[in-house]
Amino acid sequence: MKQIKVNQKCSGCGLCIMNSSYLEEDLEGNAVPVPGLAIKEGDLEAVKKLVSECPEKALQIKETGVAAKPGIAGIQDIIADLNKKCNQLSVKQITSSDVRFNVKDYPLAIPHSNKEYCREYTSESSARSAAKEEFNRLCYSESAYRPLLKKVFVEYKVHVLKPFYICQDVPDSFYYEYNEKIRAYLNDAYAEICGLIGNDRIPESWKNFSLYLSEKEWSIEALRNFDDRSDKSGIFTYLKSLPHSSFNDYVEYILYDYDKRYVGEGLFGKSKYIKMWYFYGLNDRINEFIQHLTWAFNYRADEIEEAATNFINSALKSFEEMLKKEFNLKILKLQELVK
Amino acid sequence: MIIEGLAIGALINTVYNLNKAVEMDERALKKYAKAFEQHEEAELLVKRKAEYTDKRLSNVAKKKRAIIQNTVPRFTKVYGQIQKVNVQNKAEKREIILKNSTERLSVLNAISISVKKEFTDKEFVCGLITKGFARTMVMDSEKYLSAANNQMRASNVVYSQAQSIGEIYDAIAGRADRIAKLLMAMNALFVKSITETERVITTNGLDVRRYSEYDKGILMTCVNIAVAMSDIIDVPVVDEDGVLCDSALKMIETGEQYIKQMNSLIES
Repeated sequence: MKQIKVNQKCSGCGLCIMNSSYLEEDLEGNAVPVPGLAIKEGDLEAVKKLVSECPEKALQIKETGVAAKPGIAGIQDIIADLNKKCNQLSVKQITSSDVRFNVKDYPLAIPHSNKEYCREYTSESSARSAAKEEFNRLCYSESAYRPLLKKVFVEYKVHVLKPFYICQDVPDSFYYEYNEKIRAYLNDAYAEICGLIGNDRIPESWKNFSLYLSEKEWSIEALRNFDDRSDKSGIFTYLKSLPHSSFNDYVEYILYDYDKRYVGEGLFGKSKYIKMWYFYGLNDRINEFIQHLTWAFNYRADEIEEAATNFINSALKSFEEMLKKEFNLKILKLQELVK
Repeated sequence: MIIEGLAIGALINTVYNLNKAVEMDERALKKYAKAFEQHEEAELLVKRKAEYTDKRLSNVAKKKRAIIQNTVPRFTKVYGQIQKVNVQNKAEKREIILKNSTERLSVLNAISISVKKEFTDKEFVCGLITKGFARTMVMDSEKYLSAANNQMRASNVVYSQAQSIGEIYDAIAGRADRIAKLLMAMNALFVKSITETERVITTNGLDVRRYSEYDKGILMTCVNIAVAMSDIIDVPVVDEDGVLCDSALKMIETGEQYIKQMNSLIES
C-alpha cells in the first residue's frame, strides 16, 4: 500500500493539510500523516501533485505494507507480521537512574523563629527552657519534622513517579506510548487489509486499543501512596545518628544574654533594675538542622530510588504480560474475521 | 517561553500556614499530605498548560514565517509582472485597476524587502513584524518586556486559583489556534491564486489587450487576496505582556468571513 511520509524539512505552512485529508497537524504545527490511511488509487494523482507543490519538499509517497500477494492471501502476510511484532514487543524495565531522587530538587522549607531577641524571660533558666521548647517545636518534635519529610516525598511522587501510576489513556501516562505503538500497528494493518479486501470485512472497532493496569494493582497503589514511606524511610533516625545532631547538641549552642530593665525606685530613692533574658542563635541552629536533614535525605536516596524502581518494574512486568495477551487476542480475532 | 510574562503569571503563590503547635497525628499528617499533593498537582497542571500554550503560539509563528519565506516572495514576483501589464498599457483605458491596493500592500512589500531578516517567534506572536524592521526597535521591545517582568516579580503577582490560570492559558491557546487556522486557509487561497495568476500571465504575456475580463479578474483577485493577507499577517495573538489582544478579534472575524466568501465563490 502507498502512504504519505513527512520528513524533518516540514516548515508547518499547512498547505498540504488544507488540500488533503491524508495529512493532519501535530502539536508543533507540522504536518503528519493521518494514522492508518492508505492512499486510494483514485487519489494518487492528487497526492502526487500535493507532494510536488510542497515548498520545502518535505513530502514523499512511500510503498509501505507487508502483503506480498493480493486478496486474502496477502492478509496472511499481515497476520504473520503482526505475530512477529507481538513476539518482539517488550516493555523496558527502568533503573534507579530513571527515577533519581535528588533532595535539591525539593527545597526543604526552613522554619523560622520570631522569638529570638525577645526580652521576656526573667531568668536564664526560663530563657533556656523557652529556647529548647522553641527548637523542639520547629524542628525536633514529630509534628515538626514529619511534615518536612512528607513534603519532600509528595513532591518526588508527583514530579517523578506520577507517569507510572496514571492508568488512563492520556499522554502523561508512561503506558500511553505503548498503547500508541500498538494502535499504529493495528491502524496500518487495517489500512492494508481494507486495500486488499475492502472495508466491510473487518469492523473499524477492531483497530481500537487501550490497555492500562488497574488502579487497584498492588504496585500502582504502592506508587500512588509512596509518600507513606516518609515515616518508614529511616531518614530522621539516620539524622539522629550523625555526630553532633542530637537534640542537646543543637540547643547547647544557643546563646543567652540579658538587658537590664528599669522597674522603679527603691526605698532610699535608688533605681531598681531587673534582668530580662533573651536567647539568640536559634535560627542558625535551625539552619544547621535543615542541612543535616538534607544530608540524611541524600544518604537514604539510594534506598528511596530502589523502592520506587522495584514497584515500577513490577508494574511494568504486569503491563507487558497484559499487553502481549491483548495484542495476541486482536490477532486471533483478525484470523477469525478473515476465515 | 515565547512570552515571559505568561511564565511568571504561572507561579502559584501559596502560603502554608501550618500551625506547629497542633499535634501532628496521623489524620492531620494525611490531610497535610493531601493538601500539599493537590498544590503540586495544580502547579504541574499549570506547567503543562503553559507548555501547551507555548507550542500553540510557536505554531502561529511557524505559519507566519512559512508565508513570509515561501508565499510572499512568489507574490512579489507576480505583482511585479501585474504592474508591468498595468504600467505598459496605462494609456489604454483597459488597464487593470490597482489603485488603493499599493498602500495596503506596503506591509507585504516591506516584509519582502526584509525577507532575509530572521523574525523571532515573539515578533510574530505579538504582531511586531511591521514594528520591528529596525533591529533597535525590536531590542527596545525586549527591554520593555524585561522591565515589565521585573515589576511583576516585585509586586508578587498571586493567582489564587490554578483553574483561573488554566482558563487564561486555554483562552490564549484557543486564540492562537484560531489565528493559525485562518493563516493556513489564507495561505492556501493565496498560493492557489498566485499559481492561477502565473498561468494567466504566462499565457497572455504583458499586453493587457490580450486579457479577457475573466483574466483581469484573476489578477485583481490575486492582489485583493494579497491586501487581505497583509492585514492578517501581523495580527497579534497576545501583547508583549501575554495579554490577549481584543483589537485583533475583529480582524480575525473579518478574515474568517473573507475565507468563507472566497471559498463559496470558488465552489460556485
